[in-house]
Parts: sequence; C-alpha cells; structure tokens
Amino acid sequence: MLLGLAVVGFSFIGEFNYVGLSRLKIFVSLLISLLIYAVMLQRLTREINVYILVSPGLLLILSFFFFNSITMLFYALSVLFIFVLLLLWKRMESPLTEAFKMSLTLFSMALPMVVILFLVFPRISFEKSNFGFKGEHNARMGHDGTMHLGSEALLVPSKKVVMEVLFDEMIPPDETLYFRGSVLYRDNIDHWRSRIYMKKSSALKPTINPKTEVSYHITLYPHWKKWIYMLDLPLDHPKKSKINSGFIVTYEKNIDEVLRYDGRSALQYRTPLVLEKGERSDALYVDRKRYPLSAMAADKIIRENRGESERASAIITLFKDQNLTYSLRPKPMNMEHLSDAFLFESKIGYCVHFAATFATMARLSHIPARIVTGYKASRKNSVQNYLIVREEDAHAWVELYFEDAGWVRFETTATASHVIYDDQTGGVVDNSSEEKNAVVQTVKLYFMYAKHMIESWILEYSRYKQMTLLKKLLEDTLFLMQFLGAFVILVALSIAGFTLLQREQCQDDALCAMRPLLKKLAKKGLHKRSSETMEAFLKRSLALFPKVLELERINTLYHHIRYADQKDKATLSELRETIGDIK
Amino acid sequence: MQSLKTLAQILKEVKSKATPYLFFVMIVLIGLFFQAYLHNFNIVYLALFFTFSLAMASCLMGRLNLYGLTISLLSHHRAFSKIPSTLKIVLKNPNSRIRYAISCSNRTDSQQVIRLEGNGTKVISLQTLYEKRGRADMGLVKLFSRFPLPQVSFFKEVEIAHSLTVYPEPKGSSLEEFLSKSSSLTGEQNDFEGLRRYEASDTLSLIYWPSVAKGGEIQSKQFDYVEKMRTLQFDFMTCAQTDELRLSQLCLWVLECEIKRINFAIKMPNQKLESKKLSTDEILEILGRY
Repeated sequence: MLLGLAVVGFSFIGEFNYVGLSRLKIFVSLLISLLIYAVMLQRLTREINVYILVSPGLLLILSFFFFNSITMLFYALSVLFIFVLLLLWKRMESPLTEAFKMSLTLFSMALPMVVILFLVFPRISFEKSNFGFKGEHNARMGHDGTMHLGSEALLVPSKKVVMEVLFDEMIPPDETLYFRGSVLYRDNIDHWRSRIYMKKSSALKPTINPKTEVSYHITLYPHWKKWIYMLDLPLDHPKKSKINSGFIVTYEKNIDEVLRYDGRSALQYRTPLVLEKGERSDALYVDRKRYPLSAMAADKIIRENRGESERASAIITLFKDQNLTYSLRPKPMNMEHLSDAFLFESKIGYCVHFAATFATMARLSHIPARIVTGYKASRKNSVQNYLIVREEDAHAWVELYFEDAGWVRFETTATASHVIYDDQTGGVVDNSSEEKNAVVQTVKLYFMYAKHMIESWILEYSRYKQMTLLKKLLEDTLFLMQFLGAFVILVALSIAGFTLLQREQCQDDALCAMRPLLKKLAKKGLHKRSSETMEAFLKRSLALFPKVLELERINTLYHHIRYADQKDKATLSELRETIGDIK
Repeated sequence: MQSLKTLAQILKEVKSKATPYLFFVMIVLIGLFFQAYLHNFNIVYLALFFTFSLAMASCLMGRLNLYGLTISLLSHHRAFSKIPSTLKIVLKNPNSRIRYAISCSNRTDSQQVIRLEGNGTKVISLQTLYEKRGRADMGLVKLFSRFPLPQVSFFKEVEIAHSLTVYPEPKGSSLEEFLSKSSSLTGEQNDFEGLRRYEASDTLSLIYWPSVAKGGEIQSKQFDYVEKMRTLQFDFMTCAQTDELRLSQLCLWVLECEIKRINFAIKMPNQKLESKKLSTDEILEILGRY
C-alpha cells in the first residue's frame, strides 16, 4: 500500500501547484490514479475495497465539469436526488413512493439553506475556466456584414433566437429597438458592403438625451462572426471589444460560444457632426446611369426642395405614392437597375430593397446615405423586461446625414402601402391559426424568460452580481423588504412541503373523517380510550354533551360508512359536514 | 416561541454522534469546494451547498425520528444470575409520523425496528444478563438510529424505572441425585410401593425396566413415602460448601420442585421457607436477596 501511494504521489510531481490545481487535468489524474489503485488492491486482496465503492461517486463529481447549462444543472440536482432516494429506500425498506416523499421532504428542508448559501457564499473573481463541452454550436444567421439583394439575399424567416436582452428597466418602445450590426456604404450592384476602413470611435461623442439612456444585458448566441449587437446608439462597449466611428461594435475574435455582455445606449441622440475622410464621398456615391428613372425623380425633388430634410421628406412621399408592397417573396428584379425596378416596376420587396432604393434615392438627391443592417426587435417577443431577438428580426434600414443633425435613422419599410405576411402564398394568414400560435408563442416566451433568468442568476452568478445584489440590499430598503419577503415565502413553502409530505396517509376514510371530532372533544377533555369502540365513545360523549344532538347523527353515519358494502361518498361528505357544524 | 421550545426539547432529548460516513461527506464537501472555488463553477457550488444542506436537514429529521418515542416495560421473565433472561418492552410512537430504522438495545441485546407506524406500538424482546444475584435495576434501553442519512447517528436513552431481584444461578446436583443419596427420604430403590405412568422428568433409576422389556407403556416406580408426604426438606447449611453455592443449589431444587409440583421446605439460618405458605417467586426472591 505504501509503495502504491508512493507511485501515485510521484505521478503527481509537477501537478501540485496553483496552476495545476486550477485545471481539470489534476482531477482527472487523481481519479485515474485512484481507480488504478482500487483495481490493483482488489486484484491482490480479492476483496471489494472502499476505493472501488466510492469511485462511481467521484466519477459523478467529475461529470459536473462537462457542461455548463440548465440541462447540466438539472442533471446534477437529479443525480443528488436519486442518490439520496436510493439511500433512503434501502434504509426505510418501504415502498419507493415513501422513500420518494422522504427525499422530497429533505430537499424541501434543505432548499432555503441552499438559497442563502448560494447568494452570500463568498465568490472569487477568477475568470470562469474555459473547459468542458461547448453547447450552442449552431451558428445564428440573419446578419453577415453585407446586404445581398438578389437570390443570394440572406432571407431568414427562422425563429431561432439570436440574442436575449434583459433591460434593467422597462423595454423601450418598438420604434427604438434597433440593434446595430453593420454600416454599409458601397453599392456593388447585387450587394452592399461596408467601407474598407473605418476609424475607431472618435473622441467626439454623440450628443444624447440622458433621460433616454437604457442599460441592458445581452446573451448573444454564437454566430461565428465578430459583431456584437448593441441597441442604437451604443454609449460604450463590452470588454475585449472595440467600437468604430459608425458605432459598430466588434469582438476580439469570432463569437463561437454564448457571450454575455452588458450594454448602455441612448435612444435619443445626435451623432457627431463630423464625417471621416472619404466618408462623405462614399455616402454620396451613386451611378446615375444605372437608375435613370430614379435620377429623374431625384432631380425633381432637388428642384422642388431646397433643404436636405425637405428632400428626405419628399423621398418618403415619393415612396408612399408608389404604392409599394412589403413582401418576403418578391418577384425577381433587375439587380443592375434595382432602384428603378423596385420603385417603378415591381413595387414589391422587403427591407433590403426598401433600404437600398431609399439610400440610392437619397444619394441621387445629394443627401449622404448609408445602410445599416442588424436586428429590429419587437415587444411582441418580450416578457416584462426580457426581450428575445430572433433570426427573422434581421433588418436593414437607412441613415441619412444632415449637417445639423448628423446621421439620422429612417425606417424605410414604413413607406410600404401594403404588407403581405404569409411567406408561402403571399396571401393573408388565417386569423384563427394566428390566435393559436399566439398562445403557444406566449408560453414559449415565458419559458425562455424563465430559462434566461435561471442562466443569468444561477449559472452565471458571479462575484460582481453578488456585490451588486448585496449593495442593493443595503441601499434600497424596498428591495430589501421584497427580498426578505420572498425568502419568508420560500421558508413557508418549505415548511408547507414538509408538513404536506409528512402528513399521515388516510387508510380508513371513516376514521379519518372522525378525527376533527375527536380533536374537538379532546379539547373539551373527552378522550377516546384505545379499548373503547366508537359507538361507546359517542354515546359517552352524548351523555356528557346532551345538547350536541349531531353526535347521534354522526354515530349513525359513521357506522353506515363503516359497514357499507361500497364506498358511499355522499354519506362520507355528510359525515364531514355534520362534524364541521359542531362547534 | 413554542417552536423554539420544542426545538430545544428535541435537542436535549435526542443526542447525536458522528459516524465514519461523516468523513466521506467531508471529503466530498472539500472536493466540491475546490472544484467550485477554483473554477468558479456555479453548478458545482450548488452541488456543494445541497450536500451540506441535506446533511443539516437530515440531522433535524433524524432527531425527529426518535423524538417522543416512549418505552414501557411489558413483562420480564425470571432473572437468574449469569443466565440470559428475556425482557419485553413496548415501544410506542405517540404521534402520527412514521418512524424508521430504529435499533433498540440494552447492555446485552439489540433488536431492529424497521418501521413503526404512526400512533403505533411494537413489542420488543430483549435478552438481559445479570452477573450477580440481588436487587438490580432494569437499566437503560437505548434507541439508536441512522435514519435518514448515515453520516450522523442519533440516540436516546430511556431508563426503565423498574427494579427486580436477580435470583441465584441455579446449579448443583439435581433433585434426583439428592433424592437418591438420601434413602431416608425416598427409601431403597427397590422398595417401591407401586407403579405409575412415566413422566419425562423421571430419572433412569426410577424407570421400572420390566415395563420397558414388556414393550408396553413405560412405567416408573412410585415411592410411598414421597407420594404420601411430598414435602422435601432442604437444609441451607448442609446442601453445599459456600453460601453462594448453597443458594444456587437451593435455587435449582426449588425450580425442579416447582416443575414436579413437589412441596418442599427450606431450613434457612433465620427462617423456614415452605412452599405451602410461600410462592416459588417469593422463595426465590428471598434466596436472591440473602
């Protein structure tokens, strides 16, 4: 045994340092060594030893490393529950249901303690170790930094969740829920793309309305690209990311796993009144020869409207006058002359067509324009202050530059006169199926909200969150009261669970129905003797309390139930009611 | 306030003691702690906290499992020194909660009660052994349980407030040997007045062998003196060497006389004990307390 221990000990040389301890490797090494030792010992002594007995438990503990998700959380708790259940079942030698109830009782008693320990146990500020299996490998789509217009357009009506946003306060109005992705300047006929180079955010900050500042926390699912989506207009950027002059935030590497970050944005803002070198020319560049009809219309607008904002309004009027239709299934258009084709011929398209055409018209009208792609969320996908952004929310809009206002957002699809919702037939969707879907969608939303809260407050609970919580408890009396109230409710539920689970099962309906009466009489000092029959006891009670005439009726009912061939629920109910009437 | 008082009472009544399994639990807690602490892994933190809290919760449940149980004496067999006797006690559950995995033990014996129903009772037989004769207390009965989880064991000692007299150890020569040695009491072996049916307690010397040879019912010799008188006379001073041996010898003869329904009288130094006047237990008690 000493030799074995020495061998195991030597194998760990080099592992016993802080770095070694902080890696998964040492636990795996320890476990493997223990298993080797256990098996060797068993082979030599031909006896089952304690190391073999505990090794499944240790393997189980190791499995806690594998995955960090809600599934893993439930797995870990289930394993614990089953372990306790099996222990109790063996000890109690009773039906499994009883052992199950006892396990539930233990867990309900333990829960308040777990909550308190989890919230207040000191945490360290290490970065979470990055090992274990990675989940969420499926990349999200909807935004990829370019805007295709032809058949390669990235039309994704999928409901896959791109990100979850938890606002500190109320969710802002729908018309402000724009999450910025890319800024596109270059019209390459069938697609638009960004400028080759954009500076980092300039020293000039946007002018904002402080009352419209919002803070939020985003859980972004992997999309294998570097964009981090922030609500328009972002005021800062998360760690390990950078922001450029177009207020686009990008991460240091491709986002290949779930990323959680905090954000702060202003809903009302004015961007700096400065354009980068070359930006104006990029934002004004348009090939008039490609869009003769659009150019003619733009010339008219220029003639009739002097100022930039009047020209922008005129463009909007033009779009509205063209009776455009919003549809996710437009007919193919001539990409070479998209603006003309969309505005004057086809008149059916979706956000990319609207945005591209609008930007083209703006440039033809000598207004610098750029397209912004990202996501446009909707409050219909929200629960309380929790908002879901899906792939189908991918969107494109336009920003026009005004000398006195900076870059201003324009929702180009708002100029559509008609909207076709159904993706398949182009017809209007049946209302009844929409209603059913709405219920399902609401349930799904609440489910996702619960999932997000569990992930946010349990899986991702950190020292920072702990400090924030404790600080809030100390500073905000109302929050402290709410917290204490919630804890008291939890303790009460725990006690209720304990009482309910430990309640004696009723084997005899008639006898159980008589219990309240026995308790009432016991309070008056009248106790039923163990050797006494119920009839004798009731007669004795009647002799002592002659005014309580119900006792006679109770005697009749009780014995009727007792000796009846079949269960008479009506008589049982009458018995209970009669007992209840006795004061 | 009432709950706190009840809790205090529970803690006072039911004691606890760590078991070797606690060592295993500690290792698990330490292991989980290192895992959670070094890797900032919340699932492991939860596993750690649940393990700890379950251990704490089981401490309360274990105490509740024994709290309130009462023990009362039902009956006990005659206790002779150095001979195991049986003690019957009643374990009672005064409330509706079912109790599990209780071990009931005294100095000598232990019995398991796997399950005790709510408001139920269970009769338990325990062996007891007393080394010396004389007045003795029933002693403590210990209720012990490792329910629900085995890292801590709970126990409760209940004094059975009852004392008894331990009788002398019945040993020495048998009654038949005594009778065969003393011819004035039984007459010659061949001077028998009649035959009677064979009784299992009859020694070989009493058997009338011709009845066996004949193949019929076995018969025993009947001595007229013993049958007529049926009162044996025992003398304390002459039956053995020392007082303890004498008491043991007399105890044995008293028991044999009881079985055979033979009257006897014991001549003690200060008194005479007659079976016609005193019951066997009274006589044994006097012998036990001598």
